[in-house]
Amino acid sequence: MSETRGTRRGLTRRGFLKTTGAVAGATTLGAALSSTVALANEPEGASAGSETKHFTTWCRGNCGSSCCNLNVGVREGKVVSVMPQAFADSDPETKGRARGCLRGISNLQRMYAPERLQYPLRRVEGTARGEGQWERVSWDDAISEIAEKWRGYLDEYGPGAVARCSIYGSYGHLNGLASIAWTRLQKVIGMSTLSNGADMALIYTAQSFAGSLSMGSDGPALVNSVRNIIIWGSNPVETLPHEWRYLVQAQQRGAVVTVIDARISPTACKADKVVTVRPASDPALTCGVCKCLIDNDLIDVGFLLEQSVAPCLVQEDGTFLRQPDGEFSVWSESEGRVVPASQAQDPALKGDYLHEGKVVRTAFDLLVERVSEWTLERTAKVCDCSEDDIVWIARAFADGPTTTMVGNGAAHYTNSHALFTGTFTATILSGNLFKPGAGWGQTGLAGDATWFPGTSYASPENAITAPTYSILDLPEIMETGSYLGKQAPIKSVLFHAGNPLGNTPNRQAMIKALESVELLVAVDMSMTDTARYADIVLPCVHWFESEDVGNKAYLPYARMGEQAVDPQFEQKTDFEIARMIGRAMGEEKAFEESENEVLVHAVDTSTPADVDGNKITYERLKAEKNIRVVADGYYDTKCKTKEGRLLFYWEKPRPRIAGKTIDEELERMVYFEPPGEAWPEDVEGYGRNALAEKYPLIFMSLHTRFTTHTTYNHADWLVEIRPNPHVFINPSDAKSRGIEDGDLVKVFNDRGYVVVEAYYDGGMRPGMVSVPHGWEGDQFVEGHYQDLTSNISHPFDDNECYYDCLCEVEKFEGGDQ
Amino acid sequence: MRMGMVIDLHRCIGCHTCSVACKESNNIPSGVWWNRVLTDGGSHIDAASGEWPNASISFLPVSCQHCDNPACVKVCPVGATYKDAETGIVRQDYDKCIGCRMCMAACPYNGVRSFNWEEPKYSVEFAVGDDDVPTHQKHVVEKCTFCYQRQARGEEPACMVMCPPRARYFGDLDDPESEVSRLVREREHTQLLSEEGTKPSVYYLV
Amino acid sequence: MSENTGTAAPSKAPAARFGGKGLNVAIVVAAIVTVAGLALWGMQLSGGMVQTGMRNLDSWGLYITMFMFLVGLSAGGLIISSAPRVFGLEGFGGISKIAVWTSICCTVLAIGYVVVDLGQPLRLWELFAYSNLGSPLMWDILVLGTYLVLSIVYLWAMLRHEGGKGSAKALRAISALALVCAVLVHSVTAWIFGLQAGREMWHTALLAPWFVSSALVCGVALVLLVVMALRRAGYLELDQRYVVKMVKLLGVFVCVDLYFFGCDLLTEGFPAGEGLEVVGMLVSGPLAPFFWIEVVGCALCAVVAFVPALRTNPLIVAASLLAIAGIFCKRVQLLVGGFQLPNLDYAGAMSQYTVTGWESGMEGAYAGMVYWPTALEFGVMLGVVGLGALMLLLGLKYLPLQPSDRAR
Repeated sequence: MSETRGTRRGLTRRGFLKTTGAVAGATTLGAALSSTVALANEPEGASAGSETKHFTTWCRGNCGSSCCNLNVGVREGKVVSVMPQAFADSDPETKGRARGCLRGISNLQRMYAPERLQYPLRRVEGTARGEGQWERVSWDDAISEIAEKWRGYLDEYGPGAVARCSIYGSYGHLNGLASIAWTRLQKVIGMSTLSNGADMALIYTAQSFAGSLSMGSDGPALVNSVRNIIIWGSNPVETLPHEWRYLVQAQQRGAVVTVIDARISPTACKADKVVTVRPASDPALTCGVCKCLIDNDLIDVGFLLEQSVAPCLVQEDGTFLRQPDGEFSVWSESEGRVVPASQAQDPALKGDYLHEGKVVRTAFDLLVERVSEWTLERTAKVCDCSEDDIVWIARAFADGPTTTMVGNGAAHYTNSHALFTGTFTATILSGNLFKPGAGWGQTGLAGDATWFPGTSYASPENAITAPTYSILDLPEIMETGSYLGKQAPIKSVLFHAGNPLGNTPNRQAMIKALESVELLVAVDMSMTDTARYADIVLPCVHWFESEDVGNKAYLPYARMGEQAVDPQFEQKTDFEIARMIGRAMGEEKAFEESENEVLVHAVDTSTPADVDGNKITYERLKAEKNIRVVADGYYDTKCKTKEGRLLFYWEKPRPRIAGKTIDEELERMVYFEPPGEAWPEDVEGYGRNALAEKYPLIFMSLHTRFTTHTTYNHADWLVEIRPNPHVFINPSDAKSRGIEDGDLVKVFNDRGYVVVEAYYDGGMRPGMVSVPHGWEGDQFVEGHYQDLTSNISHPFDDNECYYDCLCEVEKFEGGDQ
Repeated sequence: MRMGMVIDLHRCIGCHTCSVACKESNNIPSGVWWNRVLTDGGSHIDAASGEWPNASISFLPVSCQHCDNPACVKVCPVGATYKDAETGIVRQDYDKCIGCRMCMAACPYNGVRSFNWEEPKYSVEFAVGDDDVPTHQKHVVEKCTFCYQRQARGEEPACMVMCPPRARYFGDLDDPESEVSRLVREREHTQLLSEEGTKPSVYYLV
Repeated sequence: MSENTGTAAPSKAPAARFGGKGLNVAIVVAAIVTVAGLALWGMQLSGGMVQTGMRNLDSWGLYITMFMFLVGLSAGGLIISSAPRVFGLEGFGGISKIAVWTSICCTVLAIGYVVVDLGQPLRLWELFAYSNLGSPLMWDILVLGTYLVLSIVYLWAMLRHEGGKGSAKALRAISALALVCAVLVHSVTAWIFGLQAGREMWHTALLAPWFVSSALVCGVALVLLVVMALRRAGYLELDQRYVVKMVKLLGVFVCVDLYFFGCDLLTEGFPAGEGLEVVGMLVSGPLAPFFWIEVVGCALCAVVAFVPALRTNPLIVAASLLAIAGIFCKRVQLLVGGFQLPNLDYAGAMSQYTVTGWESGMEGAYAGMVYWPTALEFGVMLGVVGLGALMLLLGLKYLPLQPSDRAR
């Protein structure tokens, strides 16, 4: 009997991998790897037979690196296949940048799902919200009711009484979260913004410090040059399957992949080195790494002096000492005086200097001081890692080119913005920008977008401005009627391209707050948790049912999203819906142009030109479908901030939501403070959260391959693969609670509870549990996982802090299986 | 000719894209999977085994191994399961199958063959995927065909088109110049349950 | 050895007492059960085999278990009736015809179970049109068919012989052929399973001889039961010494069968490798009840067979029932055991078609027995049994199967 059938807990035959077949020797490995991307020749991507017509479009969900090019097959007016589409200029061998994933394919099922909305619906009078009693109404009736009520609210309560709330449901230019049509309507009639806070620790901090969501290299430019890849708090193996090939190629080329995570994730299992950390301690680790880089002389002094604010002199009030024209000042060593930064031959990196009777210090010195308390010993204790781990990470930064992929897995706490400041600071200190293979950002991608269609339609004449509210503050706003000291009447909310009642934390508090909003309008493709709770639901088209272009790229091409099929029922585009409402509200003049006219204009005014410098027009894009705008070897070569230097020091930090109070001194640079709730143990002077007595487990909702937030969560094929909502729990945590693998359990805290199956997961750090993200109310046995989460946040970023949450798990007794 | 597949397990990330692409292209009924991605870890998909931090998880895509010495072909009493002479692909004739399930008992790779235990059901009302796949039938056995219909059009199997980390290679194992032959020659590899003597045409790079 | 004949005096009841109303009622009941079984089979075909407990990872169930079991039962009768004739030994008191008739009934039932297990019974003709002669299943169909025909011919020849026609030589030749065929039918049935390298539980060269020994055990036990019942019902007369002879034979067969089991368990378990899982599964795993019923039942049967004082009629009946139950349990172990150890038990996409008990994942599905029949399967199974009973009773009613002097 062969050893290939090992024995695992009783009856099993696992472990076939123990036997390996013929091995031709490791020496040939390198040669084999040089062309690992090899697929059979198929220039036209995917066909589905002779009777099938094909259309080129792209995926619009928000997986973090969306917008894959798709080939949509159509037969008899129905979409019958969705496959990745190779770009016209791709190498047929490798198919170039073509990519896709299981979620993209499943759009077919989203389109034809029973949850798909077909007609405008109106809540039956006399029934409660969320009860599910609907009557079909005509578009005319629905629009006129909305228009009439909105006009009334706006006239009575002024601009802002109607709020717009959108999240990341779609990246279409006309139809989606940043739809120029909705934005136009918002500005024409004066709607306030109910600002979603999802991922704002990353988005706001990166935009503030780096001027971009990410900087560096991606794709082939990354693969061929990178030496160290640091994946910090993210799990791209699951969440960005289409990006992983670049990382594995780099790894097979010799790059070292380090994963920093609380959990042993599937990504960690692919890594060369894993550093496990205490949840929410990541900013402290960045401080320790920065100090380690500085103390061990692992910093790139030349880069710091030339590219960053390190030598720039800071005054005692914390602001930069500037030249009369606003330029930074530095200390010239040779001249022994302050000179404009651009003229210095030998700027000082360190030191206090006397300038015009006042002490000025280099920003670098302030950073040194800021991280000085983060010795290896202290950092290791706070982060629950080893001192060697910290040195390893510092060396990974120093041994560049290094790309740091900072995902959102570690960014759902009140302290998370400092993770981004911290990693960006370490990136600057180690000189890991502006060269191939170096970078920093949400997924390691270069830049957040490479092609932008024109947005003039979103800037109407006589725009009415209205306030921006954080959606996390909605409970407070609705209770007090005011926001940051000002009257804040919200009488109606328009939800589109988002599902806040499925995704926004502290769901019960949100529902309670919405109770006193008079009219809730949801525009969606499907009957989501949010649509279920609305008064009027307007069905919009699926991505494949209208023509659109993208305002995000994630790939070096401008793409046309062709209309593959007609809407099946009465669905309309966002553009058309916004236009109808605008016209019904008496703004006919502002909404005269047709959808196609606006699209043509947007593409004709797009930037940049194609890779050869030729202008991209609608006509061209329609004919060519994909036009390359950036060459594959591209990497960022210059700073994107207006200061022209890389910032690890922000002289006048501002909160994301204007009017919030922040500690300016603290927010200028990286720092650590424990998270609002998810700190269940006493660590190094940071006392544990009092709730830990009752709720000792950190509650997370980690992202998986199967959904993009709540998008795709009802797609039959994907549901078949993982049919039931579950909580991943460390076996020791489960056993100590008498929970067996597969038991039905109740996960709960004071805010709410959810009943799911318990799955043992040896990768979960003891003390943390995760109900994978993306399920909706109708899928749980009882409760909702967003009922547990808290709407606490940091005033700096008003980030949604899903994981800053404590809970307890117990065996579920009662209810029907 | 012996068409075969090489799957690089270093690259495979267990994303199930191949499974879903297979399901779509072959218009596979609900509840049926010709191509499954197995989790080598805990007892649930994407759960790790072991004790944190010494936990582990890896993935293993499994579908019909298109064996050179197929156990299923030998036992089929009516030849409904047969080896395509030209390509070496193990095929299944739905019209011929008497539903005895002898092939399922013989195949050591349990789960790659699927019997339609009832009238096939679908998540959408119309046939999806390739327009030239045979209609699925109740009470017959079916399985991966290496997308025979796509090969007939000169295209690669659907699982390869979508593979996000590019972990799959497909070609003629009898041709020493083919990519698959080269990989089998040069890279460390293994085969599924090789001790069963079935001589699979699917190789896993490890 | 002193025979315990006191309590087992040959029945003096006249053969004429057999039959009448009771038999007719029994025939009607059997017919009703058969018709009900057919209706359930119709339900299974129209509504789909999803109504059974079988699934992709446990793709055979009660029907194939019964098939194996009945092939075994069928052989016993034929071997009992033909072996003495072939080897020129003293027989068992003229019960040959009954034995062969039970054999024929069992063979028909065995075929019946294969038919109800098929997804596409209307395509049965393909077996003859597109025969793959390399398939053990095809061999079995051929051998089983031949066996059935031979059994009928043998019965017919015996009847002819009794009627004074046909030579004893010819009868002996036919019986020899039938005997060879009986041994073959078991071996071939065993090969359906034993040649599958992919199933640890099945893949052993011992399986064919073991099938023969098991067949002898349950076949003899069945004949014993039938003749004792018929004697009691007044259908026939039979000297107790023949019964005792058969019981002793049963004892020998049971011991051989247990010996084979012992050999197999030792071979599986000794290397302490993969086979240990099989031993564990049987001895203390999900199949333990079936394992212990078989082992203990067969052992008790042997005790009854070999201790003269215990060879009372009730105990002989009990011993025969234990032997039959034991062999049935053996069949269950074999069938379920083949599926109970998946070669690939990693977590993957599970659906309603993957395995019985799929909702609780691979772990849950294999925690107990991976397969258990549904009510519909039990119903169809009983329907087929009904058909057998019907055939048996009709045979008793209309065929001259009583022992005759010449046959003795």
